[in-house]
Amino acid sequence: METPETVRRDIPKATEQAGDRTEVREAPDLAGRSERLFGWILKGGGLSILVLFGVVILVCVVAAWPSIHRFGISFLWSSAWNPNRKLFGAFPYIVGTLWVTGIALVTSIPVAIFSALFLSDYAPSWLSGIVSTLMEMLAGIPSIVFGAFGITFMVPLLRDHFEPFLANTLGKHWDFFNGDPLGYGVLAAGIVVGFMIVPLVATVTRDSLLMVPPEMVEASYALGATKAETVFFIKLREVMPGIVGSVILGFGRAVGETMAVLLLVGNQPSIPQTIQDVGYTISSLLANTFTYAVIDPLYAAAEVELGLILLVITLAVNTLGRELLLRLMGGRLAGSVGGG
Amino acid sequence: MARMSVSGFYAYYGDNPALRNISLEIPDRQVLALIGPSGCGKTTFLRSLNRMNDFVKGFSVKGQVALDDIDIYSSGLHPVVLRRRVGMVFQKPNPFHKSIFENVAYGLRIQGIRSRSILSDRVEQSLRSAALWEEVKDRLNSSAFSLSGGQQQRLCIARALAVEPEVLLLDEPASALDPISTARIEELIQDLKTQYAIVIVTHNMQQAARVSDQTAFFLTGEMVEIGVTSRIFTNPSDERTEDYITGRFG
Repeated sequence: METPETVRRDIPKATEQAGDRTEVREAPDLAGRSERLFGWILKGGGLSILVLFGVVILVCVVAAWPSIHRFGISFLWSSAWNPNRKLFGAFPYIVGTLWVTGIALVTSIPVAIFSALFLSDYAPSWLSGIVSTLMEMLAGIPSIVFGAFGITFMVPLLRDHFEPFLANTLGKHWDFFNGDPLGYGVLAAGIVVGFMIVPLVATVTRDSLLMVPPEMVEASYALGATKAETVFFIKLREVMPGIVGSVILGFGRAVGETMAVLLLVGNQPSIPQTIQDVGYTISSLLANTFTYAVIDPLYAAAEVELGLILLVITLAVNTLGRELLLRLMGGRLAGSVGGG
Repeated sequence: MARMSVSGFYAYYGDNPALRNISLEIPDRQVLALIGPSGCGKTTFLRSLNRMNDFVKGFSVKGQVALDDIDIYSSGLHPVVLRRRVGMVFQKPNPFHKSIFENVAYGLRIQGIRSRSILSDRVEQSLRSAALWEEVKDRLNSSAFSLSGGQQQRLCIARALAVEPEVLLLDEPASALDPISTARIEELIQDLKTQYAIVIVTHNMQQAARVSDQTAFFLTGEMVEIGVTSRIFTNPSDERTEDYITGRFG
């Protein structure tokens, strides 16, 4: 197999053979200058991202320093939160954030993958076009609208029907599903945030499914596979990197989602024990209280430190996701170098 | 004895006939080569033998293709069952993004075979038949994409053999490979014909002459002639065949 490298290696050889070995001349000055200018503009663009990132981190760390200095690492597992007594702890908010994010991902990923499969492999093209457009519009709905939808529709639905049902069925065996049917809580917030992630994951998954090489699909059919077998064992496996990538994006969205969560999660700094409990997330706490916090440097610092924790969680998940992606792509990368 | 027989076969893409009135027999334990210039319909014909053209929009057929006297288009034989009996290897190596082992085991797994010992027996046997076992036996769990192009193509052959087909269709199986890998595939075809009926599409006339027992020459959707390979290449009965094999066109 001819790899790009072999092609590239041939080029200098060809010029050598051309005969006169005059020095390669500098390109005309005008072109050189504009090339360099363009290069500097690009470098500036790239550099600005580094600078921006550095400045944000630096400012956050400086602003959070009083809290970091005062509470140390125990800030992470302390549940105290009493601004009057200058006691602050992040634990309920970290747990609340993870609850909402977890519920959002668990509810949205299957829906997103199934709708992507439907759009790419099962829907007639006219229907797939309509649904795809609607899905992209869904992604553009402002989160406050989702929050309002949650309050007017999801909360009563959960309170009057779904949560009592859960408590009477699964709740009889596992406390995890029990609780007072309030409607508000991590379940409501998680489901609505899930709605917001579905279009994200589904669009990326659908696009990757449409790009699966037809040869691979044919290979599966030629071995006597049915359509369902081909879709599940070959196509889904093939697009796994795309799914992982979109789930990471979805995680970032869910972790940082503020308005809809603030309206639905209940805003109680308790640690949710079951799926029906209320809670508080980092982002909704900051949105609710930051304006009061600024009057007290330690209070403000504690809130900024919570923001830093959010940032670290997102970075950690991004890094882990990247590792996973590399591992999933391993075969593909090896494939591109294995010639002959 | 004929494993498959085709009579009065027509194929259409929309209203355009791609194949017209093809009749031929595919003998068991022999290699039949299909040759002809690009667009002559030889690949369409090959893919009609295991109904891989069913996925092409607007494709339709007329006439008869029989596998052991059962018409594959009208008898109600399910294409999924047909394709287990008539295997196929494609032009470009197309392994799955799975390990070497799982690539070969895939066709068995979808048939519901779960037993680890049966699977590993069949995988080993198929890899041996495809002359790949010695090269991969120590790294069955590595990605299929860590293999070279020629090894990948032999893996695809092993994958097709694992489901124990009766007929093997090869669509220019060596056209994307270097000469050494090509030679290995050709040797392999010689070994495989002791057990299977093989149909190979090839652009390479030397290859057709080297590997096949019979050769059919296709031109613009028709089969010009079919016969024992040595006769087709030395003493063709149709002038167009002679023009093609002597390189006057194509």
